[in-house]
Amino acid sequence: MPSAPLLSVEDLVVEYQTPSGPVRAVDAVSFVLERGEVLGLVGESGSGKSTVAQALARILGPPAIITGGRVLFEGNDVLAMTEDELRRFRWRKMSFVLQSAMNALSPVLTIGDQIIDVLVTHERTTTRAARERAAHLLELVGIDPARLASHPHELSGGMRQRVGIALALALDPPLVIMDEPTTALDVVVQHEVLSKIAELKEKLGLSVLFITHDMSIVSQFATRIGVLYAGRLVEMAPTRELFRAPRHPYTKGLLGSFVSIHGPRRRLAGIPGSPPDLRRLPAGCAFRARCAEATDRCATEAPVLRVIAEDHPTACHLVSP
Amino acid sequence: MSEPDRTPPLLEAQHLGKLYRVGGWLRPKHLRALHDASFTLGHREIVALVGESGSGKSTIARLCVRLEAPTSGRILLDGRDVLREERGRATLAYRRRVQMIFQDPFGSLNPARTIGQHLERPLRLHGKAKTRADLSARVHALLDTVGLVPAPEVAAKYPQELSGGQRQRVAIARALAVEPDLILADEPVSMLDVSIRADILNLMLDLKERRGISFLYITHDLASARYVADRMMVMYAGHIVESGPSDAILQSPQHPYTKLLLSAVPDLEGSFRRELPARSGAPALVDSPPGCPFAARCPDVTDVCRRETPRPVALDEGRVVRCHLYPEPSRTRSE
Ligand SMILES: Nc1ncnc2c1ncn2[C@@H]1O[C@H](COP(=O)(O)OP(=O)(O)OP(=O)(O)O)[C@@H](O)[C@H]1O
Ligand SMILES: Nc1ncnc2c1ncn2[C@@H]1O[C@H](COP(=O)(O)OP(=O)(O)OP(=O)(O)O)[C@@H](O)[C@H]1O
Ligand code: SF4
Ligand code: SF4
Ligand SMILES: [Mg+2]
Ligand SMILES: [Mg+2]
Repeated sequence: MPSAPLLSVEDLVVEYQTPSGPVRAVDAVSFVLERGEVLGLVGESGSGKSTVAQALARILGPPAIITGGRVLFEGNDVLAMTEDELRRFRWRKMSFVLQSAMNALSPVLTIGDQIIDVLVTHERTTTRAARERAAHLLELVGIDPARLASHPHELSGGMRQRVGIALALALDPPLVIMDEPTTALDVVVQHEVLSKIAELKEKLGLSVLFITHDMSIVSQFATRIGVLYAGRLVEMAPTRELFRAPRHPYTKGLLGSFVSIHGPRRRLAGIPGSPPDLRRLPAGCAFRARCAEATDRCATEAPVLRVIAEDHPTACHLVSP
Repeated sequence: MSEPDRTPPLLEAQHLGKLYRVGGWLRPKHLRALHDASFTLGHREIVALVGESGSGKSTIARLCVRLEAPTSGRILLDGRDVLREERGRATLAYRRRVQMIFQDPFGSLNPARTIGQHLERPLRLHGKAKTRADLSARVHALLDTVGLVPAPEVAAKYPQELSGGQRQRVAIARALAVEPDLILADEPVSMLDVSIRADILNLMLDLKERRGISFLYITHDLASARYVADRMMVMYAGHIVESGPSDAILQSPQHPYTKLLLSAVPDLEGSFRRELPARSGAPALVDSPPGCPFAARCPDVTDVCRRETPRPVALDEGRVVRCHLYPEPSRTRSE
């Protein structure tokens, strides 16, 4: 039997119920994540990245409703799991670093107790072995193990974020979902932490869904990248290919606004316009109002995701194989 | 400079230090979060504060906005010693002049209040709006400014209905509401994509030029630091190890930590597998050994580094560095 991919997402739809009607934050998103792969998910603020991540991990509550699609982990339907099954699944099979990791730790317990808690609840282990493992995990993310005795409010923002990463790696799960895990880290610590994760990937076959807005990080860390716009995947390709030959006008805009610390200073300009209101998406392509290449067809017909080169689907009328 | 400039800087920090008690009351210890930090923030100036995670950047901001008192040192606003004149927490008048944008957008908004209410509060508190209509017009204008549109709809939402980057923009709007003279912005754009980030950075430049607002811009994004800030300060383990004009620091970093930091900046082509020019390891801030805090990792370390803590040394172009590689001129003469 050919083994099922580690994670496969099929036509996922997520809506937030609001007084003024449903907001479709994720619309028919599909992708596959293989073992040992780092899949980057990029897209602008509000495009639905965190909603995708939380849906996969089944940590979305009301007012969010998963209204369609399937999520299969090693062939098992995650969306159909009972609370009991989820308890055994989370942390051990799939763990996550929330975008709010800085704010997600319990304020009353020490860092050490929180890591040890996760270890002893999910694994047959002694407190002593757990303590050693906790110290090791802190070192992994570049924090002095003496800080196990600290409470969250005694740590800096970036240190709390790294504790979130340490927690997610605690049980060596095959898949970790990381939602903007390095926003509070300087580039040296970021480099060191991501190198350690890359090592785990080589050694243990760890897979990562890596959500970020930082194109330089994703270019170096991800093996494949998906680009989300207004809740839809508009382009997906292996990293090198995406940077060499981006096809969707939005992706081109994203890459074009990268600034280097060297070279002449130029006026920073992003992609003009703002993202569409998800409650009243225009007919046709959601990017049309901001797209310099739009044609009449874009106003009436929504582009669908089509494979335009090997392993490189794109949703744009102008792009053909 | 023949004629000394008599107007004092907007804010001046002199030898600020901060110790935190840690480790329980049985065996109390001290964590040195900040050591001998001196700097100025001028009128109509943006200064970037960059450096290691855990090095004391947020601590500096918390001290300057007077959420906490320093263990040692002075803070002068327009040349007046604010900690001596008014003890305790910041007064309303102080807060009207100095505002802070907090690092964590998930922890700094109240889930029981709408976005509109978050912005109305400072406006009302500081008497910025007379009538109800005036108030909501101001709220909408603020939301527009940070790109949260359509403003009336966003104003009616609760924080948990917003994404991370959207919350960050609410925090920025809130700091702008009272039109302060100085904003201490702690990683205000860390969750924003390049496009909106560009808008916010341009907004900062605009506010500086048109309204004369100054910023202390804390960030990990060195490219954006260079873009908005004329001057830059680099921190490591509670020390400001280097400061000076942004371009000069980025083009020719002097302190070994600054060199390490710049070597780690990712670009679109580089590989992540490259080695960095220093050992890794977190500095110990509790019971820290004497000498330079970077000594355990520094490729240029010598014996004196492990004995003596380097003091700030002024180089040309307004650069200051704290490292034994740069001898103190006045001291060598007097010795
Ligand atoms: N509880 C909620 N009720 C209504 N709308 C919501 C709710 N939570 C999120 N949304 C909306 O859903 C959209 C997607 O949000 P999401 O948090 O997934 O974005 P994101 O891509 O992670 O953005 P960021 O990069 O800023 O974190 C946003 O427009 C947001 O306003
Ligand atoms: N209330 C506190 N009690 C004890 N230690 C503290 C407290 N607040 C901060 N610290 C410590 O002081 C040091 C500096 O923290 P600070 O938050 O200023 O760092 P930072 O430079 O802002 O880091 P980051 O970039 O990760 O946010 C850290 O080691 C932190 O653990
Ligand atoms: S479909 Fe049309 S509007 Fe949409 S991205 Fe392509 S060219 Fe632009
Ligand atoms: S003082 Fe010594 S150890 Fe510290 S940065 Fe300079 S050379 Fe390195
Ligand atoms: Mg998000
Ligand atoms: Mg901080």
